Amino acid sequence: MMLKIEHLYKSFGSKSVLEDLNLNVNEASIFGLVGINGAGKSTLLRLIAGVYEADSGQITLNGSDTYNEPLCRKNIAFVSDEAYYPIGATIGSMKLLYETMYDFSEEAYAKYLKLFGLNEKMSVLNLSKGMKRRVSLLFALASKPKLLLLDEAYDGLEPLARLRFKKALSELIEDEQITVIISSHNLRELEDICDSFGILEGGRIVSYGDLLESREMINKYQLAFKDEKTREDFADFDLLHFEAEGRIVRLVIRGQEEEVIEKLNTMNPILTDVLPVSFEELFIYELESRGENHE
Amino acid sequence: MNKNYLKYLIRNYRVALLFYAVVAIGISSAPLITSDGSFGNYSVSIQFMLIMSIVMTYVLPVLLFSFVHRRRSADLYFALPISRKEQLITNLLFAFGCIFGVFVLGAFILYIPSASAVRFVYVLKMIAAAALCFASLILIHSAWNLIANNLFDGIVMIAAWSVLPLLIYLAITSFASTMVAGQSTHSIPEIGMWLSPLAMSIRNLFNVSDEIFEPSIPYFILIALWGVIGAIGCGYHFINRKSERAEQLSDDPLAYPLIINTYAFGILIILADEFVSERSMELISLYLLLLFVYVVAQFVYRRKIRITPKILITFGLWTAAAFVFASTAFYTRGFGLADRYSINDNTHIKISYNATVSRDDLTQPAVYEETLQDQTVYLEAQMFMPVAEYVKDENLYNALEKYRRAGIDAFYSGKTEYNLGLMFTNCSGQGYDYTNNYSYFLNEAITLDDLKTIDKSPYASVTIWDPTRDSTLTLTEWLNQKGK
Repeated sequence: MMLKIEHLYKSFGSKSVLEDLNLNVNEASIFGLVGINGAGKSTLLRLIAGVYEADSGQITLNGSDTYNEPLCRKNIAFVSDEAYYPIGATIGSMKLLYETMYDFSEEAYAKYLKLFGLNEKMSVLNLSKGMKRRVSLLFALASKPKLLLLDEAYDGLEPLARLRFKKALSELIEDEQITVIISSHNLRELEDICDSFGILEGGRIVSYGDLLESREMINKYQLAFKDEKTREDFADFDLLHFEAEGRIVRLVIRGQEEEVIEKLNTMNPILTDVLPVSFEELFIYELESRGENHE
Repeated sequence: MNKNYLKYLIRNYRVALLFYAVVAIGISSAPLITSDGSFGNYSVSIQFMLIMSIVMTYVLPVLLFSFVHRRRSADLYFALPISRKEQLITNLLFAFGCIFGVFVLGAFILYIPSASAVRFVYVLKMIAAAALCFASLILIHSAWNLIANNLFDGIVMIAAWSVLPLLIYLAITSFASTMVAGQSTHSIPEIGMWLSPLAMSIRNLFNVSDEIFEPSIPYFILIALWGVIGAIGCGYHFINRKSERAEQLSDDPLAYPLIINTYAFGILIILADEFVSERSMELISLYLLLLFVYVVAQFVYRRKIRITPKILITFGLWTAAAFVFASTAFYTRGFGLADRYSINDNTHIKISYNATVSRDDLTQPAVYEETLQDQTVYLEAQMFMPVAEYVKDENLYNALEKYRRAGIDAFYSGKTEYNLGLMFTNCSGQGYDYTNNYSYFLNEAITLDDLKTIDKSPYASVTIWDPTRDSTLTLTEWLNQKGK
């Protein structure tokens, strides 16, 4: 187990943000952290990075407390949603900090500098949002982290840069066995790259696990019946979503596809169609099933 | 201390540091260029270095700890693989190293052309004193900066806390002059000094650099104490700091809430002292101005204009408290301080009576019109004697005590004549090292009989200066001339 979060609580003044949050993230995986605005994704990443101190609970990276054992933060690279660039800083001058404080790789630095189309003499503050994001990613990747925390990683990146970054991440995971926790609103982007996910809601991880398994466990079923059906007719199913249009019913049900179909067949549908759910739908249906009202 | 972080700071600031060193040493060497390298000019050069170093004790803490005040930079610097304690110590040592290092370098470089005129031990003394003062100032300025939650407030806090002792000094001085007859509060204004590590550092460092006046050892002890307080403050506000404080309102109890109310109360005390003692209605406009400033200060604190009943009530309560304080002080004769009178603080006593009186009657205070008409003369009675001799001379002692007490009564009845001044000062046998000073304005002039009693003392001289003739006569000569 690489990253372990146990009974984590964090509040800002009287506002509680995280409550009894528990999470394990495996080594060499890309974990997608999703949640509605204000769910506490950035707060959780800052807590993992050791920027914030938890009110209670513990976050350990390979057994070391990320807040109280600062040396373990050498293995963590945190790319914040709003990165800091000192006035007048060039990429070359910013390198100083990472060179002295992290296990900085000159080789990786040169490689990603080229990959992201940057050069050392560029004045960072004059760069566009997307280019600044590339600078942050450059230093994060060149610092040779074991745990990479990316807050809104794709924000500002154009499609080609996103593609390059995803490729770089895949290589790093393969070669260096690093773990990535990535938060984004763009669930389609996360779907392409994440192997596991966690949905943050009400200060807790309400659902998490292997993305593929979860998607296999949740399917969209389109059925036609001889007579009209109501939600109550499917009370025996783990129903995440129900939609009826005359005698046509659309359902999202959690459970093994074969078992669910077998059970549905007992209701004598005229037609049964099974469709896979996307990560975005998975997120929406998970939250919908909890009776939340989302944007 | 973290070596890697120190290495980063040095590499990051090396150009600015080099620039500062060249400018500081360059400016400080100016007094030597046109001189013969005498001590006086070396001392001026060192004073230039001191001024710049003290300015840097403000600049570097703001610069080095600015990252805690911005959310973005807090994300970067608090995520570094370094403990808060190491980060704090490294920042402080770096600041001290820069300021003290450049100062030492400057002191040695400037010493080279002055070596024939300046003792090397003086340079070492200067460096030792500077080390203590710079360390203390860096610590306390860093602590004040860290009280705040954003960059602007950090600067405001340093400025406000630095100036606060001056306000306290002014409030105490105002209290002494308006509430205490004789202003027998000679040791109280020092509180303003004790509260200011900056003022104590400047005085001691400049005294060391002059080599004429001795620096105060108690000041050095207090400077060190302020350094300890600064270290505790830095530890508390940096090591235990919640990073999420960045860019929030500075609502720490030691930040705006304390600063605004302390400043308001201090100024209200000064105004109330004036109001109660002078009974002047002209001060009303100042109260309104202060209320306006108080509201503006609340805006600076909360970043929004909000005139709430709470603000007005708080201001009203402070005003009332200041009035109660000033009124109580006035009617209790400065909380009894007016009656606190000691002439044994030193070996000798100086007593002087200065009166502008009528040419025709030395017991008649001059009025303004007479001054214009040259109808006045200036009477001066000066005494300087051992305290024991003064107490022994009962006639003299009793006569002057009578006038001193009359001076106190006149002060609280508001019937003083500013042309009739009586002053008692304890000092050493050489006439300096003053340890107290009681100054009164009388209601009625000293009578002729009492003037004669004073004149009889072997330690006294009573003279009358006639401005129209520009001649000074003794009392006897004056009386003989007048046929009395």
